[in-house]
Amino acid sequence: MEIEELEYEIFEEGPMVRKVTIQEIKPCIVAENMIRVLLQLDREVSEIIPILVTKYPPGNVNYIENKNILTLNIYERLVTLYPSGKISMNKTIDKEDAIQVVTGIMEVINQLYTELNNGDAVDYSEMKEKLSKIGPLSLYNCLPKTDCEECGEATCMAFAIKLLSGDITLDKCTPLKDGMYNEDVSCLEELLGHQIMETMGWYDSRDF
Amino acid sequence: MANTQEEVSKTLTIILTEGPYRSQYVEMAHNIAESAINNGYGVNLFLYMDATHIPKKNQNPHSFPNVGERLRQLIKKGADVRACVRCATARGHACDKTSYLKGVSITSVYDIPGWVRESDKVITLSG
Amino acid sequence: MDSILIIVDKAPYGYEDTFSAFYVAIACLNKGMDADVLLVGDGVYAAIKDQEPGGSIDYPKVGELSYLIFPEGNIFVHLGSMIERGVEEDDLVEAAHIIDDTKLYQIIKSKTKEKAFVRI
Repeated sequence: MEIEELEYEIFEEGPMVRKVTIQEIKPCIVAENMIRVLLQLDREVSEIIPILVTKYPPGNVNYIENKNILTLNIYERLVTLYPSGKISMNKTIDKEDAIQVVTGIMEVINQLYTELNNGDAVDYSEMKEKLSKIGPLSLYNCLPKTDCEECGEATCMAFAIKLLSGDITLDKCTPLKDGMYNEDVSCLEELLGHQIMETMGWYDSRDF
Repeated sequence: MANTQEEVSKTLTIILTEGPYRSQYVEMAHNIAESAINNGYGVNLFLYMDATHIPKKNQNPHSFPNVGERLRQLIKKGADVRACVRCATARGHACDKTSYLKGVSITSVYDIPGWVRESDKVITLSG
Repeated sequence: MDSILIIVDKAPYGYEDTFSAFYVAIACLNKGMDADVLLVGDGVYAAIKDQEPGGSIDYPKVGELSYLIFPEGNIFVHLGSMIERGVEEDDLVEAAHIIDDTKLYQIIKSKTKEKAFVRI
């Protein structure tokens, strides 16, 4: 459907992105009675995308490095970010839903921009090698493998799979958290690195 | 009776985009479809873009075989013929329900994936 | 057949074909079928960014349709055809995936038995 472009001011004083424009609304191609929305941020975001990659569970991320295009499986839909600042998302209820989702993303972008300027951000290229080695099996190998079910999952393998897709956090493994398996913790630190462990919810009050 | 279990009927889908008479693509599609039907194939024919002119009634070509007639014969032999609603409407065929030959349904491109799924072969005849 | 590759070798706007081919891809993705578009020959022009077909033609923007297809489906653009026409990567929409003949061969060869090739 042809619509006039609708501009929204989301963060009046956002360090990187402040406004977003809805450019196109079309019927969603994968879900009936839902829409697909194409939005445009008020500036290009190519420097932030490689950092954004590291902030989401690896199972929810599809990053095309040579094009710097990132597709995230978040908010129960696919959200694709382009270096030009275009964002597309499917399985959306209406434009208010789209704006709500994009507000969350703009918040993260602004936060990362601040971190980048403070020298705190971790780039995809630093983590690329690690990310390519992370899978359910390599994660499972660094877990207690007792299937104790304290995390709520039946097996450690099930826990590993949910961890990858962000459906559970690492600190839910109480035996690990309580220091009963320090070798496994070291194994995880080696496999994942600090950034991904943080994304997986390992560090809470133990931030350093 | 002995071979019925092995004689699983196969399906051919033809997607046609060309209008009649200007090129021979329509005739080719008819020939292939007819041959397939005679060999026991199920045939689906999707009429896209200018091919939505083909099922129009009352065609009367002077120097060419009548494309509408041939299509009618194919439908009689069991071919499933559908036309794209967007293309047919653009060309003035969908508004008037009596414009088309009987047996041709005006549906949409959304039928194509279902047909592709069930087919053993898909061919497109496009200029 | 469980996937489809739609091949486009005509430029947009001069022929309706390019636009219609993208619609077939969208319909297939809508119905849960794996669908990709291959732009070859003059078809590479369909992936040029910032198209404004308004004015006397007033067709829908073909380049924008690529944002409806990607990421669920790919838009492959043939490198050889681009070079012949002086089209460069920067000229294309972001979603375009440039492929050379080797990659093209791999795409065609992989799962040919179950892939339908539809050239519109």
